[in-house]
Parts: sequence; C-alpha cells; structure tokens
Amino acid sequence: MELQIKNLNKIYDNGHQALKDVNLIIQEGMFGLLGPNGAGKSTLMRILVTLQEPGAGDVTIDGYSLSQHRREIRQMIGYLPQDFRFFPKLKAREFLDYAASLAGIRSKKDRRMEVDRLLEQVGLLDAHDRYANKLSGGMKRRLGIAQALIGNPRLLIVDEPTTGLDPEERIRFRNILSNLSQQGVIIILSTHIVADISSTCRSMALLDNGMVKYQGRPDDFIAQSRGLVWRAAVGFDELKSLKEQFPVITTIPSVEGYEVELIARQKPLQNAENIDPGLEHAYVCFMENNV
Amino acid sequence: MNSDLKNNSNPAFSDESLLSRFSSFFYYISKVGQYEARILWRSWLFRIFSLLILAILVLFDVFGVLGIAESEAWSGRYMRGGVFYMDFYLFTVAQVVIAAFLSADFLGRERKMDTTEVFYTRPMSNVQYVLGKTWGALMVFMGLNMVVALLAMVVTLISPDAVFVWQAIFIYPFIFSLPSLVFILGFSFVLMVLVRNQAVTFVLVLGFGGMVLFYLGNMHWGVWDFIGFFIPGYYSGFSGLSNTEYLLFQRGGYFLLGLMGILLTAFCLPRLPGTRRRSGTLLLFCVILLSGAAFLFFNIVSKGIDGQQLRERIRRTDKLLPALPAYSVDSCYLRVHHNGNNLVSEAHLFIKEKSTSDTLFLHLNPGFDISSVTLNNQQVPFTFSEGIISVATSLMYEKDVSGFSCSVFYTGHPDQEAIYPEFEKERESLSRFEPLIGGKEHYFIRPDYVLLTQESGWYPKVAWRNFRQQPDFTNYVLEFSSGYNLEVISQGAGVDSGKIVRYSAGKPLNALTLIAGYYKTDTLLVDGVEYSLSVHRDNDLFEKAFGELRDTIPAIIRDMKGQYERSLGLEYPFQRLKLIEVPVHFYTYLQSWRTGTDHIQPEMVLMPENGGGRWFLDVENTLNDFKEEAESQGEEVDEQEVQTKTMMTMAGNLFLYPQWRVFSGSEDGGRLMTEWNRLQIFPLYFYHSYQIREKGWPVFQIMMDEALREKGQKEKNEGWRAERDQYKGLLALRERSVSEWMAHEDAGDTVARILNLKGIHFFSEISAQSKQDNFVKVFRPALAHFRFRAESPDQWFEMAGEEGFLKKKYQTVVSGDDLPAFRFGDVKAATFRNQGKKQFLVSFEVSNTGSADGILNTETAFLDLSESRNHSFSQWRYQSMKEEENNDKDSYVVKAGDQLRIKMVYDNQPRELKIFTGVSRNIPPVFVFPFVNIGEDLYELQPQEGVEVVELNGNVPGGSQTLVVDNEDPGFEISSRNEIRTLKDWWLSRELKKADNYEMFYYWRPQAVWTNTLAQNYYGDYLRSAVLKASGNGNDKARWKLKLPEAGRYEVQVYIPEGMNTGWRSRNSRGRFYYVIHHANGEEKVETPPVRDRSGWISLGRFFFNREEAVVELSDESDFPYVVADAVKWIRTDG
Repeated sequence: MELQIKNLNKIYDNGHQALKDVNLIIQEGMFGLLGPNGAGKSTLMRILVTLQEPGAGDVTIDGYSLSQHRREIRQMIGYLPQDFRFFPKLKAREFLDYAASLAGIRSKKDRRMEVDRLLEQVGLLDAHDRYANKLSGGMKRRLGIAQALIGNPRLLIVDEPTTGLDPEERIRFRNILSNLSQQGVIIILSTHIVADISSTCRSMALLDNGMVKYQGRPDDFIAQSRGLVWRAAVGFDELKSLKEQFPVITTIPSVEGYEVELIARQKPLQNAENIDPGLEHAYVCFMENNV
Repeated sequence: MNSDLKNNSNPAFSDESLLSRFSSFFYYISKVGQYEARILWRSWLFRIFSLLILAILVLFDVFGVLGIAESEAWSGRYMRGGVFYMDFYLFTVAQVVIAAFLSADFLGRERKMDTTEVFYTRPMSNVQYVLGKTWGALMVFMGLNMVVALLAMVVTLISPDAVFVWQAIFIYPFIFSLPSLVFILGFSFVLMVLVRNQAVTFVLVLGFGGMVLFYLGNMHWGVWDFIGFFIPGYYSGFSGLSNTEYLLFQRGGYFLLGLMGILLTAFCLPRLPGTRRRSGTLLLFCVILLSGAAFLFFNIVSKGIDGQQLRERIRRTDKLLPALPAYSVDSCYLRVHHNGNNLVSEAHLFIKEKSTSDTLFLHLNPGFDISSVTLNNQQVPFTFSEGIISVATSLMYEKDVSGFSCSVFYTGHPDQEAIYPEFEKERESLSRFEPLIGGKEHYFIRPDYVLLTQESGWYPKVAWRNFRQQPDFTNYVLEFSSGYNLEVISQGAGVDSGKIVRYSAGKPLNALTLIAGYYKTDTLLVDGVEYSLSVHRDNDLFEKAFGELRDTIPAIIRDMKGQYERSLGLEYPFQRLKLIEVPVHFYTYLQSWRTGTDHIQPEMVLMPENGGGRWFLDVENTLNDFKEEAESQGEEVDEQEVQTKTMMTMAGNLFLYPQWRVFSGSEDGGRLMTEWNRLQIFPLYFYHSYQIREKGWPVFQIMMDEALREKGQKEKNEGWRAERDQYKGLLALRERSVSEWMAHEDAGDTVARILNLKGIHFFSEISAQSKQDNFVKVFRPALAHFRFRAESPDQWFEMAGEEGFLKKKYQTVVSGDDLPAFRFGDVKAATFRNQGKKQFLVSFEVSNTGSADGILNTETAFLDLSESRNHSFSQWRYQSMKEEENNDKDSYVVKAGDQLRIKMVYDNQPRELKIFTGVSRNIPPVFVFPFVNIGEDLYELQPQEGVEVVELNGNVPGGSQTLVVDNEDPGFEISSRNEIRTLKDWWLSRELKKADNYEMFYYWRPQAVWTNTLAQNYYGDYLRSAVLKASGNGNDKARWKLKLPEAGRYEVQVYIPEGMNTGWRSRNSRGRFYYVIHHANGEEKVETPPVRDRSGWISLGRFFFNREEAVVELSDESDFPYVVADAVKWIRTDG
C-alpha cells in the first residue's frame, strides 16, 4: 500500500497558508512527522482523514484519489486526534462499541470480541464499565487509541498520541504500533517526543511552515548532525553567555555548574567533546540551520 | 469486513449489492440513533425537564382529575379521553421547550467534542448521520410521550369519572405530538447549522413558539400552529375527532416540513460528504418534501378562502330575494334515507300562495345535489345557486286556490362552509372548554351518527330576504330509514316500524331536527308533558348521580316548572321536552335576532356530551358541595336530599335561571352569551312558538323576546358585565339613531343590544301604564291565539285591545330619537312607627329633563338577616333558586318635564335601592343608592306610598357660584410621560390608542394606562364616567382646567366615587389621592382622606384664584391600587 501526497496546498479563509507544495510518498510501516507548532502537521493529518478538503493538489492511496473515494477511504481509516478529552456520556466499553459499529462491524458478537480485544490491548479492561469522561488523562488517551485501532484500519493516523502517558504506557503504546506496522498498515505518527520516532519509525518527514524540509530515514537525519553536537561542563555564570552564542539542547545541573549539550560547528569550549547525536540533537541542529 | 482497497480491483461499489447497500443505510441510522438516544437519555437537562413535566402532570392528574384531598376536580375528566387530551395539551408546550433546547444542544455538542471528529471519519454519509441523530432524539422523546400516555391511561382507569378510549393512545402522541416534535427537530437543526450558536437557535425556536401561542394562535386557519395547540382535540363518543381531514393535512404539513429540515441539515452539515453525487438527490428530496408540505397548507388555506367567498356570495344572493315571502309551506313530508355519509331525500311540500308572484324561491344547503323539482307532480326547470332554488310558478297548469304541491329530490350532504353565512370573523374564535378545544361542526352525517338542525338547511324552506331570522311555521312529517341500527329522534311522536321511523310533530314547527345515533332514552310523564333524556348508550353519568331520585323527580319538575312559569307568565307550549346529548363538536353561534341558539330546538335541548367538560355540568362536584355542606353542619348526609339539591341546582341553573359566568372570556366585543344561556329553555316559550313578522328587522319580536326572557329571570343582571352590554347599546344610540343602525351593514349586534334595551323599556312602559299590572297580561289574548303562527305586530296590537295606543307607541320605538334624561335629587330611607309597628320609608326625587317620557324600574333589596355561611357556588345557587326574591320591584312612568318624589313603604329594612333608567340619556342605565344609616324621619308620621309632583331646586349645578369640570368636559386632560423604557411600556403605549373608547376597568388587576370607564357610581350629568389608572410613580397626571369668570376665593372640591372595588389584597387599603391646586399664589399639594372613608364631593380647601385658568391636577401616585379622575368643583365663597 502506498500513500502519495502530491503538491498539496492548503490556505485557510484567513489567508494563512498551512501547507505549501507538500510532496510525500509514504509506504507501509511507521512514518514519523516532526515539526514545530504551527508547522501544519495537524492540517496535513486532518486532510488525510477526510476531515478537511485539500486546497490544491491531491492525495492518492494506491492510485485512488482522496477527493473521489472518500467513503471507501473512510472505511479503512483510524484516527486519533491531538486533543481527546471530551467524550459523550458513554461508558468506555459503550464508546468503543459505538466506534466499532460505526467502523462497520455489524455482528454483535464480532463487535464484542473486538471491543474486548482492544480494551485489553490498551489496558482498559478493568475500567471498561466506567464513564469515559471520568477516566484519567492517560486512560482517555488509551481509549482514544483503542477507538483508532478498532476495525483493523489500514491507514492509522495518530496526532501526538503519547502526550500525557507515563513511560510504561508509552512503551506499551509503541509496542502496539510497532506490531501493527509489521502487518502492512501505514501508520503516520506526529509527535514532539522524538524517542517515539527514533525507536519505531522507518521513515520520517520534517514539516516547517507548511513545507517539507526533510524526508527520509531517521538514521540519515541524525547522521546530518554528526560532529556538530558537543557536550561540555560549564560553571553557573558561563551558562548565560553560552546560551547566547550557541543553541543549547540540554542543561543538567551538577555540583560545579551545568553539564550542557549544544550545537556548534567547531569546538565551542575547551572541555567540550563530540557526542553521537540523537534525533533531538539532529532536530535542533536542523532547525538552527534553517533559521 | 472492511473493504481493503489494496485487494480490490474496483473499489467503487463492486462488492456491495443493492440489498446490502439498502441494509447498510439503515444500519448506520439505527446505530447512530441507538447511541445518541442513550446519550440524550443520560443528559441531566433532559432528565430534569422530563421529571418536572411529569411531576406537573401527575399533580394535575392527582388533584385535578382524581380530586384527591377534597380538591375540586377538573370537569373535563368526564370527556372521552379528556385526561389524555389535557395531559398532552400541557405536555406538547413543554416539549417545544425541551426539544428546542436539546436539539440545539445536539449539534452544538459537536463543536466541543473531539470525539465527534473521529466519528466524522467513519464511513457513514451525512444523511445517515443526521437521520441517525434524529432517530435517536425521536426515540427518546416518543418514549417520553409514551410515559405520558401511560400516566393518562392509568389515571383514566383509576378515576371513576374518566372515560377510557383506546384510540387516545394513538391519537395524541402520534397525531398531535409527533409532527410537532419532528418539526422542532428539523427547524432547530437547520438553524443550528446556519447560525452555529446554540443559544440563538434556542431563542429563535422559542420565539416562534411564543409567537404562535400568544399572537398567531389559529389565525389563517391555523397554518402557523406547529405545536398543535389550537387544533380541536376532543374525542367525541358520537363522532370521534373533529374534521380529521384538516387535522391530517395540518399535522402532515408540519411533519413534512420537519423532515425537510432534517434533510436540509444533512445537506449543510459541516462535514465532507462521502461522495459528491449524493447532494443532488438530497436536494431533490428536500424539494419534494417542501412541495408536499406546501400542497397540504395551500389546500387548507384555499379551502378557507373558498368558504369565505361562498359565504360572501350567499349573503349577496340573500339580499336579492323578495322583501316578504310570496309563499309559505303549509306542510312538508320528508322522506330521508341515510346512506353512510350522505342522505337520499325527497321533500314533498304543500305550498300556499300569499301574494302574487311568478317565482318560487326555496332554500336548501348548496352542498346538496338536486336531481329534480316538480310542481303539482310535473317536472319543472329550476336553478340552484348559492343555496337558492328558483322555480317559475307561472308555468303551472292547475292553480288551485288552496295551494299547490312541490317536490324536491336531492342527495348528498350539507356544505359546512355554507352554514351560518352571516358569521365571518367569529369563525376564527375557538370552541373553548377551558382550556381544551372542541370542533365547530354544525351538522353530522356519518354511518354511526346523524345530527341535522334547521340551520344546516337539510330540508327546503321558502326563501325571502329575512327567512333566516323569521322562520315559518310548517307541519312536518318525517320518515327516516338507515342501514345502520340507530335510534332516531325528532320532534313529535315517533313510530318505529322496523325499517322506517316516522315522526309527526302534531303541531306546526318553525324548525325540524333529525338526530340518529346510539342513544338510550329514558322517559317520564309529568302533568301531561313527556320528559325524556337521551344519552350515549355508554354513558351512565346521570344514572349513577341521580339514582335515588326515581320517585321524586316528578315533584321536583313540577315545582321548578311552576315557579318558572309563574314568574314568566307563560305556559310550556309543547307536549314533550327532550334532553339530548350531542357531540361536543356541535357548535352554534349566537345570532343577533334571538336570545337563543340552535342548541335549543322545538321540544329539545341539545346538551354537550359528558357535560362538555363544563364545570356547571359537573355532577360529582355539585354533589360533593352539598355533601360537604351537610357534613360541615354536623348533619348526616342524606343521599336523596343531596341529590335533590344537586338536581335542582343544576337544572335550575342550566335551563331556567342561568347566571352570567364570572370569568368568561368575552366573545371579542360581540354579545356575550355564556355557555349557560345556550341551554336555557326560554326560547321554547317564545321564539319557537311565535313569529311576529315584519319587513326588515323583526323589531317587535326581538323586543318581546328580551322583555319576556328578562321577566323570567330571578335577579336583574347588574354585574359590571351586564352593565357593559347595556351601556354599549346606549352609547351606540348617541352615535346614530335606531333606524340608521338597522340600515347599517354588519351592525347586527349593536341593533340587538339597542333593541334589547328598548324592549325592556317598551314593555315596562306598557306594564306601568296599563290597567293590568304586567304586559304579559296585556298580550294574553294574542299569546293564546297566535301560537305556532306567523302574524304581524298590528295583529298583536289588535288582539291586545289597546290597539291605537300600542301602535303609536311602537312606531316611536324605531323612529323616535328623543330620549328621557333623569336627574336624581334626595334619596333616603327612614323608619317610622305605624300604629305601633315599625315600618320603613324609601323615597327618591327625580326629574326628567329630556324630551321624551321615560320609565324607571326600581328594585329595593332588603337586609338579609339569615346566617351567612361560607357557601360554595352550588350552595349559593341553590339558595337563590329555592327562595323567593328578597326584593321588591316596581315601575314608574316619568314624563318629560316631570319632577317627582316617589315614596315606597316596606315592612322589612331596605338595604339599597336600584333604579334602572332604561333607554335614556343616562349611561350606565342604573343607579345604586345604598342605605347605610337609616334615620328616623319625624316629620311624616304617616307617610303614604305614591308619587307626588314637586318642585326640585338647585340640584342642577350651574350658575356663576358653582362650576364643575367633569372628565367628559373639554377642560379635562390626561398626560403620561410616554417614555418607552421597557417592553412593557411599549406594549402599554399600544394599548393607549385603544383607550379612547370606554373600557372595562379591572379593579383587581388595574390597567396601567388611563382608561375611560363607565359606572353607576361615577359623577356625570347623564354620562357617568371617570378615567382610571393603576397607581404609579407620579409621572402620569390628570388635569382639570377652568377659566373662572371672576377672581376670588373659591372652595375646591373633588369627586371621589363611593364604593370603589379593589382586589382581595387591597380590601383594607388606607390609600389617598394626591392633588395639586394651581392658584393665584402658587401651588399647593393637598391629599384627600383615605378614599375608602369618605366619598362624594370632598373639599380640598379654599384658595384664591385669578381670573384666568385655574388648574387642579391629580397625580397617579397613591397607596390605593388605582386612582380615579372624575370631576372637580369650584364654589365661590366670597362676595
């Protein structure tokens, strides 16, 4: 299965151009979407799940256009939006059942099995009888993931899925997704939590100001910033001036001052040493270069 | 399960057969519906609303219907399905509110919830989604409807009085409530999608609902009434629902509009549709639904307009008929066959010629089809248009002196719109049963029921210009056959020979009635008159209520009939009196030329079924009233006595002495005939027994009708409602003379009012001036000989003997414009001793300053020394019925120019003297003089009763010493700040425009604008009026201005009416009025004493005035609930 996004443009009524000439080809497996706030990630996702009309350009799945075959495409979509806090007055199980029936699972028995399966998968089996609105933030998110997964979607789009989940939950989630990615499903994941991308995504894109700034494998992305990431120890007073000179990625307080990681073309300080960049470093590095 | 694009060669529909598409269409709707219903059901708002409504309904049902805890039960409980109708009547209004709010919420929720977005990505179409939501809402609301229906059913089954009708379970939820619900949903959804604001949507829907409830009502044949609030919903045991075609069209129209709204919402939903193609079909459906609704509403409106135009044509045609009939129908043999919804009839008339003419005009309802007309058995050509059959009589071969025969063969049924052609705007008013609504049907022909009165024109009559007002007397024989096993009732004695029932009246009738239905009849013979009661065979109300009275009813009837006929002076002219239950939808209009309606037919009284939900036909409540009375006095409840009292009270009030209903809704300025009067049997004594024929208005008949009716009453109607009726007639006379009014188009009610007044006046004069002491005795020969005949007034005068005198008097009635005008002087009461016995003298002075003779009818009321107990209305009515009157009535003629002192002597202590001035310049035509302190008059030790001529002095205000400015004078004006600050002010300023005419002032709920009012206790030389207004904050003022002839010192007095009424809460008010006097040296504020304490002319002090405008101002600020601006007097005190 292949998702092709060709020359996608989207201008809102207020004149703001959310997407500009976006071209992407996405294969099966996990695809990460990275970018700062307002980059257009959510817009892109909403267009992909048929909630919004593309302005210009087209999206095709296996050659079938999104605008022409919305109904068919809707039959294979699973969507988890960014903010998922307000539920109608239904219990967790009921909500999933509703979602399952809307997804087209007609047989009551099948639905029940599917709902149970998912409740277990996201770890909500114990809370199945509680009102969805009364669940904790993390549980709500899990319920959201469950409804996105119900009915075995072929195209899963998740927008900031692990925000608010504790590490254990986050790991569980990653496992679910990575299992799914093995089954011939396209998963598009947008997130700020780079760990999610680096560990699971086969390929990724970076969106900034509505434009695709990078598309490729995460490893290659990281490789771009090799040699540009330094670690150093500085004193309390040096930190401020350091921040003015270089983009500082992390600061960890220590006994004498801080341990910092920063981006620089050349060795910035005497005691600085090169480190292997991670995705986060690569991201900051990339954004710096593009400013 | 899910179609996999990867595995599909052609993803578009190849997999899905038509059948599976069809089933998946409904699958989504049902799923969405199921869950949305669940969500709605769980909404706290919905639950609270529902509980609230149900609680109110339960309270009403428990206290109102079941009458628990000694509450007075609601009389509508007797009506079939009455509880259902009432519960749903209340519920549908509440439903508007809940449904509007929740449906706005329905779509409003969408925007808040992210979860909605994920549902939007599912593969259902917009139509399925919206329909699903609608279905969910419908399930929940119809569920609530069913709960209400269940409640009504339980209550109906528990209550001993309520009648259960299984159709009600279907009718009220599905025909009344469901279309309203669908419309509200559609309407709110569309608004929500367009406006995108829940609050605004809610307000708009509620605004529309409010406009319908409070303003539009059933205007334009009820097409605006989406709630179904003004549609007749009573279910009759005889005829079911009223006008089902209209009902289905109107409800259907709103149902379709609602569906259209829902589909339109799907079209406008802010969600990308599944495919582009669908929109076209959706719009097409919307157009189809809209056209369907438009067709239905158009049908309703065009039918209404057609009816209007038909009646217009009928009225025009009627005017072209000859002024007096050339023919009369001597006898009429009717052969009628009942065929489902139609009649097949033959009318064989024997016609007498009264004057030469070449055309015979007959009237028959235009709804019928006439197949042929024969004269002396020869078929003749005829025309039939607007209900008038025209046949040329000149072509008849044999012309016998005694008359000729005419036969009309016709089929079909009457046209409802052609009945009562003289009423147009009255048709808009509803047939209300407080608060429920019955239909307005004037005839019934159904397989299971037939009701035809003369008004429906179901048999031919001679037509001439006034044939409706002055019906002929004809001998009728009726033969009726029907395929349905119905009991047949008509005038006279009925003979049932299996297939045919034959009725022959035995005496000429001026109306023939045909009734056939599932009746059971009970008869009783008392003193030669056969009394019968026919009720629906399922109805056992009266049997249960009066079970103990089997043996005593004859005595009760004898008693009451005797008492009534003694006061009336006439005897019952028929051999039978039939009380017949008729459908609640049977409606009759009060016509201006008689004091009765079609509810009274010769020998018959047509009573609304099950009491029609009227409280004065509520048998149980009346029985309970008397039971409570007995219990409260510690007596044992004697069932027979209680039932006797109940029967006497009810029968007395319904048939003999109806009382004006206290809080009746007025029929829009038209003559007020309360529901009571519709059943009064008086018309059987006069209107249905005599016909005094005149060209144009039957003035003499109308006058005699009213004079007789009034004579038979126990109490003179002087409540303010009656006053208004009377003074409206007198006010009309100030504008135009009687003859001008009679020639005026559309002035029927005014003429009737005037003639009623003139009638009482005219016959009072006759009573007073003749040797016999009442006019009935004067006309007794005519009353005896002219029964069931049409004669002219001249013949009546001749029969009465005093022909010349009466004829002259009668001529002045219409032509005379002169009026008497009375001024009263001293009115007092005193005690004196007459040979040791204490007696009382009442004397009053009166002068007639008008140009015509007048007549005064006096009524002295005596002190009631009996214990005043806490009477219920029934107890009070029983008392007043049983007892002879506690007053003395007299009449005195006061000629023009007379000045008289009239004295009356009594053994009992008088409480007040009422004087009715009849047709005169005095408006209102009644004066009330209460006697509070009766002094001892030492001067006349032996006062004589009688009339003395005196010289009355100085009662007429005039001369340069005393000047009065009344509110009717040009020097009087009112002002209000007229600022529109609130919605209330705006509404009131509209009302201000109406204040030019005289209005009724509601002393218990005072109007906030200056209101011209007439009352007998206000000041005025002949027109006693004042301007009243609810007390306010001092912004509004009334001003009296006068240019004084000389400067000097004057005493200023203001007139405070005596005996001002207030509501219960203000009964002990110590309020005063505040005046400002503008005098030569400035202004002075003066307050009156508490207005309850002192009345009449109250002095405000003496002031010096210049020879210019003197002004006295009344402020509307007062502690008294309202202020009265009447008159101000200046009296010169120096020089």
